[in-house]
Amino acid sequence: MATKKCPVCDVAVKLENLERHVRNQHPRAAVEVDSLLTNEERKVTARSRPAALKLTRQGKQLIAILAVVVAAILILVIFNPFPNVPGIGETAPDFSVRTTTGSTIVLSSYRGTPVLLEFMDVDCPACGVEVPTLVALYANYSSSVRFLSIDVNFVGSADNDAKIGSWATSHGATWPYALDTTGGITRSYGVTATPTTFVLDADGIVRATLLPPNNSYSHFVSALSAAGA
Amino acid sequence: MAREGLSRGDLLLLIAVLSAFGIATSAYLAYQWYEAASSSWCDIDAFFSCSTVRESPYAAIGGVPTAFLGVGGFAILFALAGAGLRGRDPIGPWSVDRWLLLFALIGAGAGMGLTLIEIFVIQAICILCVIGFALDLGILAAAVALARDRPAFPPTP
Repeated sequence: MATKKCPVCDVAVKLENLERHVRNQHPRAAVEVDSLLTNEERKVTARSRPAALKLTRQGKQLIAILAVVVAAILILVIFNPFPNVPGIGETAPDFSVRTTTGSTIVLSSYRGTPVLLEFMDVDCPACGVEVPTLVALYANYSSSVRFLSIDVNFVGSADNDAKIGSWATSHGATWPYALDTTGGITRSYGVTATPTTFVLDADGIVRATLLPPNNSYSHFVSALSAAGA
Repeated sequence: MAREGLSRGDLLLLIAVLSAFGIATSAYLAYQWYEAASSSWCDIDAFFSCSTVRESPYAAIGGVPTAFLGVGGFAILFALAGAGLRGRDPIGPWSVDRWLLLFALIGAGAGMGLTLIEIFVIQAICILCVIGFALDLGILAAAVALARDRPAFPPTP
């Protein structure tokens, strides 16, 4: 590594850094910066300077296309704008969720029993209207149907376990409630309004989707009957 | 990919770009491990289920998400490719190409191991993890192409 002493401070400096060193460290020194290096020394610094790598046009195009494709794939996977919304007769997407009491429920572990899966929001007035119907259903079907309500947190202030638990208790709802913290479950079921209730049969197949005003007791009884309850 | 059409700079830039995507993917996986403890995401069915993989014991080592290994590995590859693009070669005893090949092999090996664990042990596939593995393989292919035409050690001055 070729060095040369700075004419001002007498410190050994790499040849390629000498001019910059004098310019920056001794701006008021009466030194002609351009004359610090000889022609031979300039050739040495030019040789030691890393050569810039060339990019070909073809390479840049290929990398740009690849970057766009990879970015598109990642966006599709992460944001999933085309969720596989389950229709009647299709398998309900599996998920695991932590309930407001701290236990974890995996939907597929309910296989073998029909499931009433409600998407609701404690701040949604229509959900408050529906819950007495569900309480009545639970009284009659709790031995043969699993109930699970998921708060989607669409409206009102941010929901939390305590708020949901308090709401359920005040309405006499004693089945598990859970909060969809990131909206992943809600998206996977394509839920855009609350309350939306899916009735699944013992194999996890969607047999009915109920929304107001088709969410009366008799509507639920028909749906549960279709699900084999 | 036709090697003849791509310069050394192209290959280094390709590795840098793929590594950048790898960092983003791994960082998102790590974020999901911390932030999505009670919800599903990118779950298609019981086999293609990110939740199942995330909740397996292989998703974290000592409470630290395994995805952080990916962030670190891709960051090293990104830094090496950046150093190569800036002409900083060699680094220590080896050329940038050789360092890139070494870390690309480690990354692809780790990616393959984790993918095999997903398939045969956890019995579920996390799509983002597979994308990370694919990025590893792409980087390895580019690193092999780089190293193929260059001596393993830089010439002695």
